[in-house]
Amino acid sequence: MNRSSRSWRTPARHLLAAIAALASFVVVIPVGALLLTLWAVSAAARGLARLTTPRTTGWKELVEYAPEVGWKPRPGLDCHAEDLAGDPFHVVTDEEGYRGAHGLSHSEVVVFGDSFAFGYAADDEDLFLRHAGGARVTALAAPGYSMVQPVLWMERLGARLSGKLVVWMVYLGNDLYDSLRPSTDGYRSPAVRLGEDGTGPAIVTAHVREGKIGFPRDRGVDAYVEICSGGLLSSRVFAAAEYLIERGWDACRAAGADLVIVSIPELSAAPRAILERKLALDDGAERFDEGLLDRTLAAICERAGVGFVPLFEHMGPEHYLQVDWHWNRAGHRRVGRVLGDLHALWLDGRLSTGPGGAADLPSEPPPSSDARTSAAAREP
Amino acid sequence: MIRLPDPPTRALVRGTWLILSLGAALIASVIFLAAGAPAWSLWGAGVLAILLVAGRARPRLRRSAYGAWRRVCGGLGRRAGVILERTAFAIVAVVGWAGGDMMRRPEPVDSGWRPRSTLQAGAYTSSGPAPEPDSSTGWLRSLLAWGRRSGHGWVWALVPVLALQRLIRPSARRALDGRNYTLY
Repeated sequence: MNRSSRSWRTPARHLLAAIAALASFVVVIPVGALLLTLWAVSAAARGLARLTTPRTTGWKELVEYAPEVGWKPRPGLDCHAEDLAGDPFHVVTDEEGYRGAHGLSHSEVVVFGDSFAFGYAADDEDLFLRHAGGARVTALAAPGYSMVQPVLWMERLGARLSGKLVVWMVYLGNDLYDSLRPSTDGYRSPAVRLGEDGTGPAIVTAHVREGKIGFPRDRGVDAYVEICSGGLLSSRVFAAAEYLIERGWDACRAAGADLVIVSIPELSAAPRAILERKLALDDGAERFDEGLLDRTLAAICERAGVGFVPLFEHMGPEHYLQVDWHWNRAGHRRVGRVLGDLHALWLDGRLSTGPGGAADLPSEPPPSSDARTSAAAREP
Repeated sequence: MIRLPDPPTRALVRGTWLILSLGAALIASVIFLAAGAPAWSLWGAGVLAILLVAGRARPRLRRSAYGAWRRVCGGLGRRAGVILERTAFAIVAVVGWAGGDMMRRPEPVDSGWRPRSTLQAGAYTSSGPAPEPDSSTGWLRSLLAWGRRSGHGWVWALVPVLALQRLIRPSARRALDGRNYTLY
């Protein structure tokens, strides 16, 4: 290409581009008007959402390091945190970092557990603690806790639990598996060492320090499926659970407290959908049996002489949030009612926590037989 | 940008319902004004009040409206995207066809062959001219700078089309994986 042809081509291109651009305005202007209208509505909605959403506090400001247990909620919180769907919820903790209006000393019922027991995603005024009939309830719980931290807290609190009803909530979605892991999402957490070499099971806390640890991330739904399918992992987590329940019961008994285990089923739509997809692809899906978790825990509790309440018999998918997988307002009300019933039975001395006794609660409307399946179907 | 995220937060659902209600009230007012109704603004306010009460009483209605608005934005956005893409191609085609080299036969005396030396494997990306992504200054400044630097100033003609196309970009979806930890 010679120099003269190039010299006229560049301005010609620019001229043509300008003409083409002007001509394109016939199309661009109406499309632009439409898109700008849609954008204005969306932007206004986003702006309103920002204006009406309270400032939320990150988890690092909500929890603090605690020796042995790893972390605990900060005392004196009165702020908003963000749930997994991005919705804010109001968190209030007392001077010891517990949720509940009465404080540990004045409470009749003390609830231990993970984020469900902590009331994750629930405003303070909607918490199950507030709906437990007339029972005075305090929750000693934190997000990310496994079954190990509650035992450590029971042992640590000792005599302060005297004369109280201890309700230990175990989330079947991950508490069983987490008890074997020395790390929770990178944070050092106490764990059970089963001691299969003959040393016997023990809780390991020597590695628990501030800061993160390089440890493989959890296997989430894969581990859940494996545990529900029997096999090695299943037997390991149940061995750990039995050890922990016995140890927790020893601590409660020594303190003069009664203990009831309450299992929390995995019924929320979001994890159910992930689980359904996994099972649809997995060859071992025919071995999958979620009822195994409650049956095995019930057997463990029976052997230990501890009361057991499977919340699956009292709750359905409608009690769970759609995106975040914790309880919704109706779920907290239902759990509060179960707690209230437990408290009433306990006051009457009819709570069978002795050998062979599952807690004999008034019957609730039974969930649909395929509640676990229908949870996934409810995903938006 | 025009399409709202899924799943939404409760505040976003509420905000969308309020804005859509305001829009409906405005349209109602305009209709009553055009029909010569004396209290047209009251009619608009009535529509707004009914919608706000309905949304308050039936949160599911708000969520359905949010989903419907998302679908409307998605459908219209897709169609608008196709039109804008074709418009952009048309501008490029006009410039390339009439003022470029595409339709011109190579002159026999001047070969288009250019010798190239071998690049290090790590350095090899693309030997052709292309706008360099520059996140610090934004896509518009980067594109305009590239046009000026490379002598392709005609790309400025694409700016209105590209700017509108950016409105159609899908918003980031909140990722939920199979891990069910809730600590941090």
